[in-house]
Formats: sequence, structure tokens, C-alpha cells
Amino acid sequence: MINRLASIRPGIKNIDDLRAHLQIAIELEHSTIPPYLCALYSIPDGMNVQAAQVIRSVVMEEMLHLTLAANILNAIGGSPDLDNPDFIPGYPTRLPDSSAHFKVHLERFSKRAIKTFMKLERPAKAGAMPEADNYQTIGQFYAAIEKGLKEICRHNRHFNRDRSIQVKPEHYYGGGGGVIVVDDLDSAMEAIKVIVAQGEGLDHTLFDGDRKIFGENREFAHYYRFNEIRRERFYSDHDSVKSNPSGAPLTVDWDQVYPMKINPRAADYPEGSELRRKSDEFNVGYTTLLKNLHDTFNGRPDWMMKSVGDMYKLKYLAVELMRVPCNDKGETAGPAFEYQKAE
Amino acid sequence: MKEDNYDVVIVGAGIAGAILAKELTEKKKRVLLLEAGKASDDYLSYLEVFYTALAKVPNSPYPNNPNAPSQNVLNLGPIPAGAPNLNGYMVQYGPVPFGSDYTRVSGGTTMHWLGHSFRMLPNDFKLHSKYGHGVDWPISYDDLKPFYEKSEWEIGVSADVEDQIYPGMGNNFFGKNYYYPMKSLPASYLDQKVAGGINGMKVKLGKNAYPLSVITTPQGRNSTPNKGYKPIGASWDNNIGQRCEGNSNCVPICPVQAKYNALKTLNKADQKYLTVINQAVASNLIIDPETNRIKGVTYKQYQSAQSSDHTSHTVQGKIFVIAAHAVETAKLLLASSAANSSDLVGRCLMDHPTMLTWGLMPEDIGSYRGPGATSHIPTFRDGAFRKEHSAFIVPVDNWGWLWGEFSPGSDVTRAINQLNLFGKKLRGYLDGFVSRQFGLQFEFEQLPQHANRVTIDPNYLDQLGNYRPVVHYDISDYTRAAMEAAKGVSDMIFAKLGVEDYTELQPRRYRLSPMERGQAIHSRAQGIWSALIAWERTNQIRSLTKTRNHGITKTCTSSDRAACRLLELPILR
Amino acid sequence: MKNKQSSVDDFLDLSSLLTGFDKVDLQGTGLAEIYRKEVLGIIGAQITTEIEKAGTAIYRKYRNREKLMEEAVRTEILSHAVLGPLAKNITSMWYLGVWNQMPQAWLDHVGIKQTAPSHVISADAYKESLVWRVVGSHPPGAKQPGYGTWSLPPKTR
Repeated sequence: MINRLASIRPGIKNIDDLRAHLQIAIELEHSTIPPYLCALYSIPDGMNVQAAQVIRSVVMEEMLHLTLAANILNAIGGSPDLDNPDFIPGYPTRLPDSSAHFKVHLERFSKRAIKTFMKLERPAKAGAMPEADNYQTIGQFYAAIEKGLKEICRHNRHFNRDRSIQVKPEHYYGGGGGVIVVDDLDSAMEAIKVIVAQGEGLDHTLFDGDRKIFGENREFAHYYRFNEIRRERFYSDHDSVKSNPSGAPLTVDWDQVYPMKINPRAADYPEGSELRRKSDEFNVGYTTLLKNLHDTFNGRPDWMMKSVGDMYKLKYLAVELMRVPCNDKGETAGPAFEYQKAE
Repeated sequence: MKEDNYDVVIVGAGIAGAILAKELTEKKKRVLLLEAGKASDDYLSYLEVFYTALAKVPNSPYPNNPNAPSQNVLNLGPIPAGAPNLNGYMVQYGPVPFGSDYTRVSGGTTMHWLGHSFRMLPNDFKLHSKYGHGVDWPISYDDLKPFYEKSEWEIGVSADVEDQIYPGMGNNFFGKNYYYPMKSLPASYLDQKVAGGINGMKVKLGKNAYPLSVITTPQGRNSTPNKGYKPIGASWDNNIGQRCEGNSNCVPICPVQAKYNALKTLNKADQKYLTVINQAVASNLIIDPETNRIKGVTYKQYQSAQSSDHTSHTVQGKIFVIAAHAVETAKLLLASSAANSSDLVGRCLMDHPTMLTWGLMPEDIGSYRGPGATSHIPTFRDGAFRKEHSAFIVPVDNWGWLWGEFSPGSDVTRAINQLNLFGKKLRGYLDGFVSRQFGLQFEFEQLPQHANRVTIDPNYLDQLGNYRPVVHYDISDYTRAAMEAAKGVSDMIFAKLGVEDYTELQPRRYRLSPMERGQAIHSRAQGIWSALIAWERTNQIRSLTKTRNHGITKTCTSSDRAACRLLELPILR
Repeated sequence: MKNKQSSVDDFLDLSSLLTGFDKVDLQGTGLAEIYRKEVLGIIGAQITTEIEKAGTAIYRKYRNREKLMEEAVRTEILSHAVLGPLAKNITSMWYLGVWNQMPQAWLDHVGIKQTAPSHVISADAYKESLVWRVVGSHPPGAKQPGYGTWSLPPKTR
């Protein structure tokens, strides 16, 4: 993923730059979803309920962010591109974190996975523009988009006002807050704010922006929610951003997890083997989902329904893979999230 | 807690009690709610019980509670002449078994209702003057209309007004700008096939021909909200159940609470003004002999369902509402000798006798997906035929032969044991057979009959010493005639759609395993909304506002005179 | 190396023959070991080992040769007085998640006096029952397919 970020020069000078940035924003938001899903699906039904709930809520928000980025891109005459081998980063992938890069794996729920998630969601320092010739942090990247929108789309320039291609609240539900229909600069800025605020904490408090933006119950920003799992303890009322949680214990059983091997790939299994067939099945299903989402974001918002069905099917298939032993280390297979068209 | 402090004492935390509790506490009235069953504070544990229940009947997820027993359809059986069937909670004299069950638990029978939310039609209120049967209501459809609207918004009903076209609905059935709180649920794939095949087809009934239509069914189940409505999801996580997720399990339990249950309303009550006492079975109403008003309720409180240990208490209040379900309410009134100078309490017990027809569609229709029924045929809800026989409504079943044949469990057993299939051939057979399974339900209007009644008998008491309901029940010729007519309708529909009719097959010879029976009776409760405001003719005590639960659920009544095989419980076979 | 004891893998071979599902799909349910334990517990090691050995031998010999395989299963397992009824019960366990009480005649024949009554093996057994997969649906109340999916054409299988 870092390569994609590096592929564009910082700074947005024209509408094409802005569209290119938003396409990468979609890819960026997507890139964290498979790792989160691997951790989530590796937790068997009814185990580690609180941890699963936190991860699920984060995934829902990432999906919302993806949708919002696509809505903005659609609103300014772009075409989100999801049905493309390059859309999936390939795991492990690298993502920027302040000055350093770090690897993100497809791996089962574990302390290490949670630490990675915390890096993914670490609160950004206020988004100063990059001085180097590429983006160093995701915060910088979104700051550039905000600035670009304000400049390039001033006086609502470039907005096509075609609400029929926008994904609306009626299509998207079930957590993460509401979808924002983007048809002018104000709504675009509102959508960007949701993306930035939910992940990273607004104004550097423990709480994310939901309360301000959606008027919902305040929830800890992702980073802090993950820290609770990592430390196996809830934050209490007098904890601050700097402290670790010191409230009631949060029970995590790190062993109640399907022992999925790290970064599974279809090519791990011989052609013609049953496991290869099943792994391919997942990949083909995932590719179909991307195609359906692509169509959803390119004029068929009502097809979101189909995509939700695809997501559930993939979930059940992923869990099945995670129950199948695949090596003599006692590990099991898992979903590979590779681009693979049906034959 | 001061025991004389209540403005209103409500017996029963079902839909009626919950709505009252909510409305009254919003107006700062102090309300006491007595619930015979347990609190529903662990909904997910119900789900676990359901998964491992061999017989997945409507009451299977809910506690078996001898202190507040519920009727279980597993206990139904033939009734020998002269002696009642004592197997279940009800004492059944028949001659036809009363097949509905209800659930005595916080939330009431909405816990397992199907969610169908129909309004009655204008002519239903004037059956006698219009068609010469039954009786006219003292009120009209228009009197009830505003309450229907309110109820639909409380329940959260999904439907599009423009789709809802019924016979005899008149010009102003829905208010001018009325809309349901949520859009219609998508019609199932098989609904679309059926609609494509029979819409506009004319069916003759008596002298007249009636054009069939297939329309979506209004139901208390979350879908896309309309303006001003926010769907309420699961009580443990509102992000879950914002939409119906297609669990295909409305009865006995929706795993995500996308289906309405009365707990949602109860949660909205202003808790400052509400006191709820669970595991408190009302056993007697205390009547002031001078004013003839109710002045208190005696209830028995127990700690554990397994022990009959209990303590008795009496509460007082200004107004008493008995909202304990059609059967339990009548029982309590009779036990208290209340409101019965007319001798009408407990009489005119009604159900909705159901006839199933089923067969195989020519192609895969994707059976067993979605809510129990997403569409229905409204054609026979009203018409001149009501001079001859009762009206009926025809839900198009999304759950194949589940109810009629206990499929697919029975198909699996037959394929393995009788057809001697295994391996890929077994798979192929089941795939080809089960996904084409198609069924229609015909649900019939029943007229008020005095002999159909709930009574009490000191010989029949439950573990706490409260009365068990003693039930006499039959189906009239007027309704039976409709069953014959309905079988004719089914034949014509099957012929048009090319359905291979399996309805008249002889009962199979193989013995059903308990699992198959379970699959069989995994039936859907038909919570017909109209029953909520069903006959009210016994309201004599001024302070007594008697409401009725929608407690009419599934029925398993059968008629040997109907031309086809009617629904029979497998246990009868 | 195989010792005298049969293994979960043998049970999977047998189950694959009986259900028509690949072993990987049966493993994917997470129930193979649980089901095997169930059979061992109710029927005992001797008959369980016997049916597993018969199954795994046929599986290895005739895999992907449907006709020969069917012939062998019918000859050596299904028509066998002891193994036949058990094989049918194991098939039905995979398809419905339920253990059916063995028929009395069979119990008398093999000399088992007391046996487990019919029961749902576990919540997971219900959720993974294969019949729903075969018909392209899901077990009612579990593995929800998502809003509105019932309105889409049945999936091509």
C-alpha cells in the first residue's frame, strides 16, 4: 500500500490529482479490511465477545469510510475502480506510520495483531503538509485531500449533483454511523471529517467524532478501544489519552482462536487439492464482491444489497477455511483475499 | 414500594401491556406491570436453547415454566369423545383441538409471532348486515383507522401504501398522506415467480370470477426506513438487526431482533414511573361489592420455575388493565367472577384455522430463504362469496414444506432410509427436490361461536394452584365450506404454475424421528394484527379496560370434511 | 504409519463417501472430531473402528471412480447388518446435526442394552447441518444471508 501512496506526488493541483487521491483513499480504506476480518473471523462464535465486538465495529467504520470516499469521488465526476487486480494490496502490505513504515499481515486474533491495529489507528498529529516528495502519514494524505477539495472545488465546482449514483443511508446500515450523500463542498467536507475523525480521535480526546457528527453515544476512538483489548482492561473516567486503561478488567482469552496461519495464499496448496479448491472459492467470491461493489459505486447503489450477501457468504467460507488443518504445525488455512476471476 | 400508589396496574407484559405502560408512563402515570413469566433479560440464551431443541416449535426457545405454563403444540393430539386431552397445559374437550399457543414470558407472544400486520377491512365490521353472517361491530373501520396508524408506527411495520390493494377497501382506506414507517420488504424470488404466473388470473368462486393478485405483506420487521422513523435493532447492540438479515426464523425467534417484539416498546417506557414485577402470576381480582369496581389484584410470586414455593401479595391501584392474552384474561376474569353477568367471558374463542397445500415447482425457486412469507394473495379477503363461506387470506410460503411435511428434515431421512441414497446422489436428490418445494397457506376467518370457549374447572390446576384453561373448540360449517372452496383455488393456481401437487399424498408410512417432528412443527405463528382488537363484548366493569393480546398464533385444526388433507400435527399420524 | 486404531482421518474418509462432500468441506464444519467422539461414545470403539476401516479402504481404493465406489459402499457397508444402519445414522448426523436413536432391532443385534436417545448434538451441529448447504439456503436462525438476499435468484450451484 505504501507503494500506492508513494505513486502520487503530494499536493493537489487540479481535479485529476484530486480524483487520483480519492481513488487511493478508497484503496487505503480497503487495505485494512482484510486484516481486520481475519482477526474477527478467527474468533469462534461466542468467544471473546467484547474483542469481537470492537473489531466488528471498526470494520463497519472502515467500510463506511470506503463508501464515503467513493461517494466523494463519484460526486466530483470520478469513477471508483475496485474491480482491478491492483486494488488489493497483497499481504503482508506496508503502511506508513509517522516516520516509519510497518507491515500489516493477514493474521489471526492475537496480541501482535492488536498492536498492528493500534498502529493503523494511531491518532495523527495535526496534518502538516509533507515536506518530502511523498506522503509520510495517512494524516498528511487526508489533510491534502481536505485542502484539495477546498481549493479545487471552491464554489461547488466539479460537483455533478447526481444523487442517483450516490450510496445513500437506505443502502448502507448497521453501524459506523450514517452514509453522507455528497453533492456539494459542504457535504464532501463533512464526509472527509467522518473518515478522519472516526479512525483517529477528534481533537485528541479518547472519544471519536461520532458524538459530534451523528449525535450518537460517544465511543472510544479505535486506537483506544484496541488498547483496552491489548491491556485487557477498560478505560475508566479519569484515564487520559496518555495513560493506559485502568478501569474494570476486560476478559480476553488469547487461545480461543482458530489457529490460522499467517498470510495464507491459494498457492500454498497444490493445484487440484481440495484445500486449493476451497481457497480458490474464497478468492473468486472475494473478487466477485469487489466487482459488485465496483458496480455499486458506479451507478448501481441498490446493488449494495448483493454485496452484503457476498460479504456474509465470504465470512462463512473464511471460517470454514480457518477450521481446516493445513500444515503439521497445527495451523489451519484461511482466507487469502487474492484477485481471482471465476474460470 | 407503597402498594397503593399506582395509577394503573397492568397484568401482562406482552404487546398490549407494553404499549399501555409506555403511553401511560410518558404521561407520568405510575404504572405497575405484573408479568407471570420470567424477565427477558437474556435473549441470546433463548437462541442457544433454540439451536439445540430437537423440536423447534414456537415455544421451544422459551423457558418451560410450570409456574406459568404455556401451551406447547407438541402436546396436541386427538381428543377422544367425552374425555379431554390433558397432555398439555390446556384441558382440551374439542371436538377439534385448539392449536394455537402463546408464550408467558416478558414480551409475550410477540417473542415468537411472525410479524404480519394486516388491518381488517371495512366489511369485516359489518359482516351481518352485509352478508348475513356473524355480527356487526359496534364500531367501524374508520373508528379504528387512527389506531392502526399509531400501532404500525409503534411496531415498525414495513409496507408501501401503493402496493396495498385489497378487495372492498373503499376509497379512503389509508389516510391521504399516510405512509408506513418503513418501506416494503423485498418480495422473495419465489413470490416474483408466483406473481408473474398468476397475477390477473381469474378464479371462479360461486357465480363470480375473482382476479388474483399477489402483493407484499405488511410486517413488523425492519427494512429501509421512511422519513421520521429510526429502526430499532437488537437490545444488546442497536447496530445489529437494523434490517431483517434473512435469518428465516421469525418463528420461533429472530436472532437479531429485526422483528418487532414487545420488549422494544417496554424499553421505551419511562422507567421512572414504571415498576415491573416478573414471576408474578395474577390469580384473583378483588372487586369492591359496593361500587362493582376492581380494587386490587392478588398475585403469586415465585423464585424458581422448578419449585412451587411462592408468596401471595395484593396490590391496589386506581385502574386495572388485564392484558394477559385472550385465554389468560378470560381465565382470570372467570376465576374472579368478574365482568360476567352476560355469561360471555371466555366465549367466542377464535383462531385462524389454516389449510396448507404444497407441491413441487417446475424449477428451483430458492425455497427456505427469507421471512416466513413476504407476499400474499388478498383476493379472498372480501367478496360476495362471504354469503356462502368465510373469507380467507393466502400467504405465499417462503419456507417450502417446513410446516406441511417437516421438510427438509423428513426429505433427508426418507432419502437415506427409504431411497437408500448416499454420497453425491443423495446431494443431487435433495438439491433437486427441496429447492423446488412450494406451499400456500389458506387462513380462514372464524365467526364468533358461543360454544367455542375457555372455562375453568377446580379439578384442573397448575403447579401454583392457578386454573388451567379448559377449552371447547370446533370449526363451523361456514368456515369448513371456505376450506373446500380454497382447495379449488389452490388446484387452479397449481395448474397455472405447473406445480406438481403433493398435497393429497397419503401420510407416509415411515415413522418420523423426533427431529423431523421438530422440523415439522417449527411452525410460524400467525400473529394476525386484527386479533389484537378482536371481539370485545364482555367489558362490564367500568374500571376494567380489557385488552387482548394478539395471542392467536398458529393453528393445527383440521377438518375431515374438507376435500383435501388439512394440516395435521405429525403427532397425530 | 498407521497403527491399529483408526483416526479422525478415517472417519473423514468414511463421511466423505456417505455425504458426498469433500473432506475439506467436512473439516470446514469443525465437527469431524466431535461427531467421531459422539459415535465412539454411543456405539463403542469396536464397531466404530470397523466402519471407519471399511470406509477408508473404499475411499482410498475408489476415490473419483464413482461407480465402483458406490458399488463397494453398497456391498460392504450399506447392506451390512451392523454397519448399514450405523452408516445411515452417520449420514443423517452430518445432514441434520442430530443423532437419531439406533433402531431397537439393531441394538438387540449388536447387544447394546442402553443407548443415547435422539438429540441435537450441539448448537454448532445445527448451524453446520449439511442439508441447508445442499439446498442453497442456511439453517433457520443462523448463518444469516443478509437483507434482501431472498429476493435474488437462487445461487447457481
